[in-house]
Amino acid sequence: MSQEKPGWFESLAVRGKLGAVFGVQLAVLSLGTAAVLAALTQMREARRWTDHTHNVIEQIEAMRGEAVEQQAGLRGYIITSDRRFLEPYRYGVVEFENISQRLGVLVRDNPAQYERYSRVLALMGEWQTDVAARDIAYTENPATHHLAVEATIGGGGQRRIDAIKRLCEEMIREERRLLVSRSGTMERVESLLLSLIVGLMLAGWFTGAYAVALVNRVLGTPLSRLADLVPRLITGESVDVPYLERRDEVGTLARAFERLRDSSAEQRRADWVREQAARVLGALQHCDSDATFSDTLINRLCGVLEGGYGLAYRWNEQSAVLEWCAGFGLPDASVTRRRFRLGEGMIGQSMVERRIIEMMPVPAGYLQIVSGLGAAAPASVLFAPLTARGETVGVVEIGMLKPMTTAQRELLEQVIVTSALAWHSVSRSVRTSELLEESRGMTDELQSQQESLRAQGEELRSANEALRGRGEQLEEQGRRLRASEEELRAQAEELLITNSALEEKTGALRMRQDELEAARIDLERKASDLEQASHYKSEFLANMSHELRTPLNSMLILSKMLADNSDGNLDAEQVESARIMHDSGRSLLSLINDILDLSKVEAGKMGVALETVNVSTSLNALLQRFRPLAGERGLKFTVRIEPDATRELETDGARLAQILSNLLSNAFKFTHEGEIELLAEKAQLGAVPAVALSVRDTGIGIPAGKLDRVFQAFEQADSSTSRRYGGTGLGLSIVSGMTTLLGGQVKVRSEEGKGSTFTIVLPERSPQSQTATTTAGPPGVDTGAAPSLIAEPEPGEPPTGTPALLIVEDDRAFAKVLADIATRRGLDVVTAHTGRDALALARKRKLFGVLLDIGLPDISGWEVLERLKANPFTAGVPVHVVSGGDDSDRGKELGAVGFLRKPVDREAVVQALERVGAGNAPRRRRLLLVDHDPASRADIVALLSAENASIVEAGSAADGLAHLQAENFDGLIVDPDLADMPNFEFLAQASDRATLPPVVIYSRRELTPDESLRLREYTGSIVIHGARSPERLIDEVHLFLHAIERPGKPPAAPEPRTPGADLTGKTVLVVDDDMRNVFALSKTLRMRGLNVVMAQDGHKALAQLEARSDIDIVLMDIMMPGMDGYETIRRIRSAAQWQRLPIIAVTAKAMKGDREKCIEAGANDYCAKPIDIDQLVSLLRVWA
Amino acid sequence: MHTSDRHDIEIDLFRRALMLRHGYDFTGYAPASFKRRVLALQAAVQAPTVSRLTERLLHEDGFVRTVIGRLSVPVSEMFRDPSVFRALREDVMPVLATWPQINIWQAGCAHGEEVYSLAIVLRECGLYERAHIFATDFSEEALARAEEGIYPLHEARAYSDNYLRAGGTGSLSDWYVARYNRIKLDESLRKRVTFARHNLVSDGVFGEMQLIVCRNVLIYFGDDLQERALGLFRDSLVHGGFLCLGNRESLAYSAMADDFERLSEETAIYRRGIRARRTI
Repeated sequence: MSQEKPGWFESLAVRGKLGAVFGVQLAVLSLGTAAVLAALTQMREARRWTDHTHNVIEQIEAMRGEAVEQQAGLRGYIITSDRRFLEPYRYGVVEFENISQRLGVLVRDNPAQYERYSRVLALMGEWQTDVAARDIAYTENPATHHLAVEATIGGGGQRRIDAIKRLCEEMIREERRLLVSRSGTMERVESLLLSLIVGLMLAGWFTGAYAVALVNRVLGTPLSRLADLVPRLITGESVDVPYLERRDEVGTLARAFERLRDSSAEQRRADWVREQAARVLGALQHCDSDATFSDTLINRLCGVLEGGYGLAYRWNEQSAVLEWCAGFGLPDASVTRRRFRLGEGMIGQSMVERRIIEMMPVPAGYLQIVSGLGAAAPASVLFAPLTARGETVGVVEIGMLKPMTTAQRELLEQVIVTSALAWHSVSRSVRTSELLEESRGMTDELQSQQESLRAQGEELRSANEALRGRGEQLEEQGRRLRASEEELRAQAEELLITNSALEEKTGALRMRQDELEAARIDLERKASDLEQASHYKSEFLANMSHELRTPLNSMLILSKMLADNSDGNLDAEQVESARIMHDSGRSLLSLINDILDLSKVEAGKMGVALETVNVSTSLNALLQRFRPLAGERGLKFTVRIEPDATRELETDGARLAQILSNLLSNAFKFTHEGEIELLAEKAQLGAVPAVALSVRDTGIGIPAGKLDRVFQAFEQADSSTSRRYGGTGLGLSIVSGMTTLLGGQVKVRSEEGKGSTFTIVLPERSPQSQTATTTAGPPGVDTGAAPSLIAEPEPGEPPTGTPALLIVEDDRAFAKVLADIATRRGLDVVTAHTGRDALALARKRKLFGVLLDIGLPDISGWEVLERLKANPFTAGVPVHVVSGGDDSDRGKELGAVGFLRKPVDREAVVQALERVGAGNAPRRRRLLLVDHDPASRADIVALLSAENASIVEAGSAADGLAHLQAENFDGLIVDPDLADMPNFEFLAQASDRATLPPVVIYSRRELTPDESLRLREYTGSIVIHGARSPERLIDEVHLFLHAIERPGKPPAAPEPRTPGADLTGKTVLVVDDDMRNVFALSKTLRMRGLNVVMAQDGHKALAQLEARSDIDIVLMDIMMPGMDGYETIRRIRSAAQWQRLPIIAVTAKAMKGDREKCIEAGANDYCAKPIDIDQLVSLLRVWA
Repeated sequence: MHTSDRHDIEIDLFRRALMLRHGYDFTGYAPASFKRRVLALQAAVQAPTVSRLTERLLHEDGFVRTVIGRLSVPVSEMFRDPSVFRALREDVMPVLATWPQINIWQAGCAHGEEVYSLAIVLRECGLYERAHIFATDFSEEALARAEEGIYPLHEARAYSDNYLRAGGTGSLSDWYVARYNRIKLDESLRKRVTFARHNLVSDGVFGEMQLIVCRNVLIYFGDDLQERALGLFRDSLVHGGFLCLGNRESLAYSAMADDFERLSEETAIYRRGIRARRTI
């Protein structure tokens, strides 16, 4: 409707409209009323005329009646001539007159009638005058009367009356015709009136209805439509307001509504802009870095502007370019340009213009806004610069799917201004914090560099300090030098003065000097000759004693064997002879040893092995050793250690023992009654703290004159004494020599007949110079210094045969002795008497060990040893050196497992055999391999082929058990996942049936902690299959194949079960994550009859306690992953039922307070790692 | 009396006080090094003399923590000496994989950089779930720092560089989040790590280890103490287990040398008991 041009009516004001509507209605009403009134008037006229006609007719009839009356009266009078009859006539005449007069008024309007009326009147008049008046007059004169009667009978009068009557009839007819016409008129008017009324009613109704409809259409509907708009306007809906064009109040109202709508839309848009701007800025407030800021900005902007993609560029002041820093809705890779200069491209341009540039329409081929489902070109692209305080901070580019609305534009304008400010300040703060951080970082770095420099500087500094120390020394020396320079200078001056005097004497002196020089050279030569001689003597002695010892070897061993009479075929006398032979041999040996020692001391070839010697232990060992002798001789022998004497001594313990035992032997030898005392006390050796060890006896003593000679070789106080007391007389020489070697001094104090006191004073710390030892043996004997005579042979084929023991010994008798001992132990023995033979044999025959003499006729034993070690096939064969020399150090250097000094006894030989592995070498090891996979078995067999072991394969657990039942094995290699006995059942059953040999688990899969814990009951060797597992498998197999040689770890040697009825049947919960501990502890504790329950960590411990009620005591490791021991103990204690449960904490910590911490946590006691089993058992006895 | 003499006496008294009052024994430490640390401590807490330190140590509860924290030298970085970590990853991890459970002892863990490095290597080698790392130090302060696993952000670049040179298979940033100029290492790396106080000077063996890492700790020890620590390591290691020392440290002069075999000349990684057994 609003679109139509409003009609004039609609343009009318409401008052006009109402006026028009009601005016029309009034007019219609008035017209109707007027018409009705006119009709009514007409009807009254018609009725008046009808009445008039009726009146006229009545008058006419009355007139005619009067006329007749008059005639009748006249006739009666004429006939009768009675006068009485004249009365009606007379009356008729008057009546006639009256009536005719009234009739004349009535018909005056009708000329035709009036003419007839006039004729009636005329006729009447003529009758009355001509007839009635002559007849009355004739009658009245009786004479005439007949004339009257003849006139009457002749009818002259009658014709007039008849005319009157005719005229009256005519007049009535006329009137009757008039009446008919007049009632027709009245009927017509009546029907007209009826029509009028009906018409009026209809017209009134129609106009009324039309007026209502019109008002409704023009006012009602628009008003209600406008009224309907009000709630929508209130809710802020955007509505089209109608009737704006109308000029009436509706139009006004509509325009008011429109203004209202516009202003509210405006308001709402402003609200929206404000709200969105606040939201964007709110989000930006949380951004603390350029990256998050630009990211948030572009994301939010695109969000509120419904942008399809967006890019943010940051103005980089340093490089004066806009750098791309964040994007929205498009992958980073699609950003083709990441840098814009000022004015470059739309982005640069918008920065220059500092206004928002909207590019619309977007050129074809521009970037498309892409989703997973499709792509669309943006409707427009916006470029908005972010300008704060006159500086542009950055530019954003936004691709819009729809053209931008005003509100969006307004929002964008507002946001870019405020966000530019925010960005600006963010950048500032980021820069500030960066700078701060940078400086902090630099400080940190500086600090840590400083620290690490300091750490590195530690060594430098300590070196520096040493240097400085040395520098100070140098300086000191320099100072001293300067001082002595001064002195020298002064002396030089003095010398200059004396020089001249001296020069005079020089000539004389020079002659003397020459003589002296000649004498000196002579002396020197003699001295060196003497030294050489002494040296030769010592060497000779050393060699001789060595040569003597070799034959003694056999003699001693054989005589001992005879004396032992192990075969039982000698009689007592023969045994005694053999014993004497043995004793003599031993005496000879001790003499030779003494000579050797002495010669070594004198030749400076005695080595000193420094160690820490406990004085009390050493002296008590001597006490033990000599106590039987003292008892035998009835002497009192005591050891006394003064409290101020040092407890420990750094010296060569063996030499010290030798010295003291020499002195003691002497003391016992020369004392017949009284006592011998061994005394240790504090002493000084120059400025060095020292200990004095004295042997005091109450023996024969030494004459004062001979005191200075007792330390010389082969000297006894009296040559007769040697006959009486025996002995070589070398003992004190050796004592003296050795004491000097140890950096000490020997003193003697003696009074003949009262006794002697020999005192050695040794420094508490041996001087450094004394530690140097000589390693070279006597020349020509037992040394490998001579160049090899044999060309190095190629390793060639590996040696074969069952491994044997090689004995290399040129003394055939001794070789046989050795061979016998070995053969008796069931060993294969091969013997070589020369070095070459030995090497040749070693190439052919597989060996498990070598006993090697050093003094061989062809090449030295050292060289043999080196060759054996150089050959890959024999490098691993243990070699034990048996030599007359004393070069154990050299033997060790070259890789010998032991050194035995000739002569040897049986026990020593047996020990040597043990050391070269005689205990296990020749027997081939047997391994049982249980694995259901044949391929895997083949792999393992191939892997272990190099081992000296035979492998028995079992394809199933049952098979394996059968093998274990039937045979003995040295080791077991088991796949834990056996098809016929899962869950390690095989190991459980195997260990139930017999003692398990060492087990190696070789698993093709990873094991859970629980599984490995369970396997730990059987073995510590678990190998998980992997790239490096073959190597480890070999290692583990090696470990148990050679277990005997590894003294550290006996292969689970079952300890005798300690009868401990008090502990048997107790249940102990061992909480420890350390497999080794768990394994060892459970084994040991089970051996003592305890039931062991294990838990790997605190949680499992609690679970075990919950699950079992029979736990008597808990062993709790402290350092466990996850919940530690302290915490676990606390948790246990927090439960009421475990308040009294004994808990023993086990910890590796030894620090102050660790024990207290355990007790605080609720442990009853504490046991340190590594666990001392006896201590633990005691603890268990106390607590369990 | 000479100042340096007085210093030495004071330091000796200080050392004795530490020992007698708190049980920390520094007698075995290299003297020059210990002296320097004490003087640094004195400067740090602004004590006029070392004797004042001793006094506070005796009478002030809790001061010992500061002292111990300062006396240790917590200088390290993640994947320090990348060649070592490369060797650990390439030569050691495959062997460790053959044990059902892998115990690793990081002795002297300081601020934990190497602990997390190890954990990352284990994770990347797929061995982490089987491993237990015992990270010990004698300083509780250092342990607390180590447990946090938070390091300055500016270190991260050097760490990443080390990580890649150590043969890392991913990116170090997979293992940390950076925030507030710090990096925080993934908490899951701590799952199998036990941080505990343990003093190599006085405490004992606490478990059986497959790998012991103790780098740049022994250099601060005197000879006897070094021997003691190495003895602990030897006794803790299983046969075939590994000992990883600092690049400047060596077993060459130790009595334990025979029990170990050096893996290569470049790194101070030793293996226990392999050669010793082979030559029998």
